[in-house]
Amino acid sequence: MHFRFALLVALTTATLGCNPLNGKDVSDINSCTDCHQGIEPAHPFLPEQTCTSCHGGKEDGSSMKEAHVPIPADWAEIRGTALPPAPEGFIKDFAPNQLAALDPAYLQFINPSDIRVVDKTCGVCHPDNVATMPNSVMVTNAGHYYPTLFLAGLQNDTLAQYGSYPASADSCDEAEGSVCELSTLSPSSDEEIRAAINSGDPTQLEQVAYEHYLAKNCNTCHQAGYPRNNSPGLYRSTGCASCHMLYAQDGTYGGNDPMIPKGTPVYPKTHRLTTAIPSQQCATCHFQGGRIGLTFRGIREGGFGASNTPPNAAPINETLYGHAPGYYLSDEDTTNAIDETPPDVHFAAGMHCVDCHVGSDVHGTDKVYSNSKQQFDIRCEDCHGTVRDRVVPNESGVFETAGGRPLPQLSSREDGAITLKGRVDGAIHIVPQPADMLAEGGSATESMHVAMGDDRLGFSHADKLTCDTCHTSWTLKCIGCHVSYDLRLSQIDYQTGQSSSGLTRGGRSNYSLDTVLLATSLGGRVQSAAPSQQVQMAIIGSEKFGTEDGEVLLGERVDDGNGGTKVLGKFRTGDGGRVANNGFLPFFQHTTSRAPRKCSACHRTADTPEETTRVRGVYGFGTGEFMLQGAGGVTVDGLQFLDSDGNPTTDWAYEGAGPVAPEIRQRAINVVIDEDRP
Amino acid sequence: MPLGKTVIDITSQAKIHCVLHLTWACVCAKDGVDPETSRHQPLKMEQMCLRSAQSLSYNRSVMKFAALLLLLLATLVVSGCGPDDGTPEDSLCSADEAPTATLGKGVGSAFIPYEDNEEVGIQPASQGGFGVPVLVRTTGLTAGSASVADVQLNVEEGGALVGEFLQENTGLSCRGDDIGGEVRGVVVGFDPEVYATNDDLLVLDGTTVDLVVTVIDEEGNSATVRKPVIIRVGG
Repeated sequence: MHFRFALLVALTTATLGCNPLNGKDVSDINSCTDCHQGIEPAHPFLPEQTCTSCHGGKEDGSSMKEAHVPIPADWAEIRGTALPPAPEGFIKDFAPNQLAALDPAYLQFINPSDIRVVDKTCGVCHPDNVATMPNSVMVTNAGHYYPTLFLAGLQNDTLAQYGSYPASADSCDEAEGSVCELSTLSPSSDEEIRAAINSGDPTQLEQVAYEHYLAKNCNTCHQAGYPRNNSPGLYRSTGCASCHMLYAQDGTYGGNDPMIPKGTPVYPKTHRLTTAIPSQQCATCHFQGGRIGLTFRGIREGGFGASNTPPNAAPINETLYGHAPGYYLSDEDTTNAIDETPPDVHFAAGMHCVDCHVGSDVHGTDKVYSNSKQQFDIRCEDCHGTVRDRVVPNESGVFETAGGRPLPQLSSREDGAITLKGRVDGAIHIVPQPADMLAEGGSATESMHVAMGDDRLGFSHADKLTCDTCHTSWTLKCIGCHVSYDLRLSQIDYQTGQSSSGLTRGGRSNYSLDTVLLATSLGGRVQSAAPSQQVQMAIIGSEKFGTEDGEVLLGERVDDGNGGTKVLGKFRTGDGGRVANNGFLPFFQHTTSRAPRKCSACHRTADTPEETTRVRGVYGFGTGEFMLQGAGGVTVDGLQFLDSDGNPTTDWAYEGAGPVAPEIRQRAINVVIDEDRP
Repeated sequence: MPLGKTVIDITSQAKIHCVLHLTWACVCAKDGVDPETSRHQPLKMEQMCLRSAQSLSYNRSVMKFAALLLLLLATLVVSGCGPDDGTPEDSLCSADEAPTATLGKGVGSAFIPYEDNEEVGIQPASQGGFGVPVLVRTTGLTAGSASVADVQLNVEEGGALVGEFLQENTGLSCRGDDIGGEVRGVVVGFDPEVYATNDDLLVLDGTTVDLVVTVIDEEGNSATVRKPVIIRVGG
């Protein structure tokens, strides 16, 4: 019956023509799709869904004005004057506080998946994910706030206080890094700045500077607010659509709805939600911070200028992530046949971020964690097994993480091979199992046995090291971060979307692509480490705040060696004389390689003082290569976190993380291996 | 295919819409929605959610129906289903006139041309670097959804070059023949080694520089705009 009826409708439609507006008067318009003909169904697995069930508005409005949710009367007031000129009603560059102030009906109309309205839309069918999403670090961005404040001595513990979204949870456990509440951090007002200056208390002044720094520099990447949405690579939405609705690099619509302008941002590629999320979408945020959205794809941050650009490098001549063309590099040296910064082996095989990071890794749990490392549970071993055991499914035949999260992308083939089905393209990937290779008759070489297999005492490197400690091809280490907070200028912040006093400007002092640095990870094993939040803050006053214009309130003005001056930021001296804000963290670089680092990366090749010094540098004794100049004549080795006696010289912002345990590092340093060993 | 004004045949695209339209008709029939008016009584999300839970069995019905849809598609191909007026959804801008370029600002669909000596703010980019994001509108250049252009972005201060950037293969979309082509969101940078400190930047504050942007289309036609603006540091 249905088929016959549908056939009748179909033939009638075919005869009359498919453009519903053909021959119709505007007054005949009676559904959204009369105008938005051809728009892609956002959720094809929910065919009963109407436009208004997500977007609100009036399905049978006879005009655009009647059908659409009206632009709120206070839109211009909320938008303010700091954001660039926009069409009336445009909100796709609003900061979290602006979105929170907006009429929810209008917010839902523009983006039904925004976190403030999502319980009425996506949350009806996906209540679990929507309930935990506000707690996720993808929304709270909590890990960008507290480590900086902790290392600056502005908070005493390593628990998050601030987030881009005011998350809360019923229970929390300090031992696991979860907190019960996060509040947002808005920059201090002019009155508060004056009070801090007049107090004569450097800590108060630093508090002001760091608040502005975090709100103005570290606050555009989270699902609670829009990014600037004004430059290629940055375009995305908020809430669920941040990830699940794809945006082209140029932010333009490529779908079939004639009402959506072509060639003009900010629109998704098509009006379609998806779980097939390519890495480029993730990179709209993850080009910052650890830069894993870049390194995973084999892109490295250059930074302009001769000091940051090797002479034969291949620049990417595109405006990308707000930078002018040439800021990013695709190859270090075009005169050789080697790609010094190759993509991660998983990306090269056609995999994407979502092939590993799904479920609670991204959607969060009922806990509000202080940083991503506490929230994530995926490990290499969840797919690859250990060096002794291949991965096995649970009793129900489902593979899962060590934390018990299902991994439906994994299957076991009849021939015993473990396979992974790519989320983006559906391709089947064989997942190598080191245990199989190392088993008797397996394909492992002698070197692989030495590196991963049991020795005569039953020791395997994998017992003490994470996989990426060796399987990392290159690193993007940013060493030292000069930050100035200049009260002569003003700047917009991305919590309020308004301009306030003080321009914050940050920039790395040095970078390294090949330095090996090891530390103890949160799980207790040795892992690659990277400098992190090595902020040297300088504060510059202005007449507006009762100081001389350009007066250095924190830091020191020194000769720049070129006939001018520059302002050096201040390193903070912590307990026991530690250089507190010379931070480090264990860090998975996402540049996984099939071929591991050479043994000599972490062990000596000769029993000489030079080799001993080199290898001690791997464990945090410093290399002398990247010396950071601080105010007051302080010079700090940017890769040092141990003094010559093995005592920590810095604080660590991640509970459980720190230098490699003394007995392990000494054993590793003592080893002398054959230089020719691969 | 000749360049310039080109009508893109969207007939096949429209036919796909027809299939979607028919699929929708099927849904309406299945759910008892009035097929004559195609007016869908909006279901509550809870109802849809329940139906989603039944989607497996429902999808099987849809799969069965797929064969029928193929037959219908064939019918549609015969009967024709394109828009009557042949209006292109995605036109190419005319390249017949003399090439011009205009610099402006705005987000979304906004475009406000820069006035001579207008104040423009320098925006800091993540991890260092400063620039002015600009919009460029063109006429007389080949522009369309598949068109690309190279864009040379220079900053001159007192006639001296203080920033030089090349943007390759950037999209040059057509905003309509009455508007022209558009390149959005490119950043005119300032050499961070020249402007290494805030003091360096403050020297720029209030000074007049020329933003010089040249857009070169795929045929090698180019348009250059030079716009004196007053730099404001901070925002």
